[in-house]
Amino acid sequence: MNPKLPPPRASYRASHRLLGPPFQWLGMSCRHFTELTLAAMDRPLTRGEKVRRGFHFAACSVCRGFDRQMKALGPLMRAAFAERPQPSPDPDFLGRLHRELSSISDSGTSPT
Amino acid sequence: MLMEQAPALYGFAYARLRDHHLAQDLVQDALVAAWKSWSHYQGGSPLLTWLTGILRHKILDHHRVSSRRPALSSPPEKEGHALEDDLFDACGSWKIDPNHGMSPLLQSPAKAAQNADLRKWIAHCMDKLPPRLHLLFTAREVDELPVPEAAKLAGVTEGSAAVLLTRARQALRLCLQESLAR
Repeated sequence: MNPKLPPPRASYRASHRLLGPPFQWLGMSCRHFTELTLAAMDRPLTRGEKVRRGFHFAACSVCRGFDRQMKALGPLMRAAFAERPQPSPDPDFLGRLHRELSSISDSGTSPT
Repeated sequence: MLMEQAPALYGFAYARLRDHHLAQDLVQDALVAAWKSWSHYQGGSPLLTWLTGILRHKILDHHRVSSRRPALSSPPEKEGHALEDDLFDACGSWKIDPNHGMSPLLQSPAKAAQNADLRKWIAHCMDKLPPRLHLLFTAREVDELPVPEAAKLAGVTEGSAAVLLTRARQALRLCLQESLAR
């Protein structure tokens, strides 16, 4: 158990006490749902996987929240990555690089 | 002209590799290669795009050479299972509420996009991924490369890339939730 995060609400716990075992047996538990949702971001799901995912999606509001989170994360990650401070290269490195490029520029055309 | 692109290329390499020396070495290799094959540059695409393509190849070559190191095979496997076991009980039901504290992410996309704090936490959690996984994940999620190409770039097989990407997303989501719920 993750000590920092609270358990799901009581209605989820009650419904999943009943639904958990058959869902698990049918391969459509919350864990299966998250695995399939994440897999679908990298590959097309098989028809069977789509059915299991779709059935669980219809039955479980907590997992619908997980699905929305994953959908929202993609564009936000790209935005977060793009606006991170850009480190500047070392001036020494740029100097070395310039000398290196100049030393090979004599042979053939050079993009100066 | 090529030298003007060096800072942007370095920024690209460092953001993905997070290794100052390696980023410098690969930018240098890429620019030397570009210089030597300057006659191949068509001018149809922006120069930086052409150079970034060459730099990607240099990153790929670097990982092809160093991929004999089992950097990603065993430890994340263990970590991944421990992570999932922390989240789900024996029946595969949630042990934690995955939506607790996540309202900033669940609001409308336009609102979420304006939330600078949220982006700060997302960047923080991406940075916590181990180096090779970070490279794989950014290739897939940020550069939106197809899985086989992202796997090649990071020097892992396509099969393990699928497993690793799933783990990375699960770990990132949990890190973000723990940060937001604080």
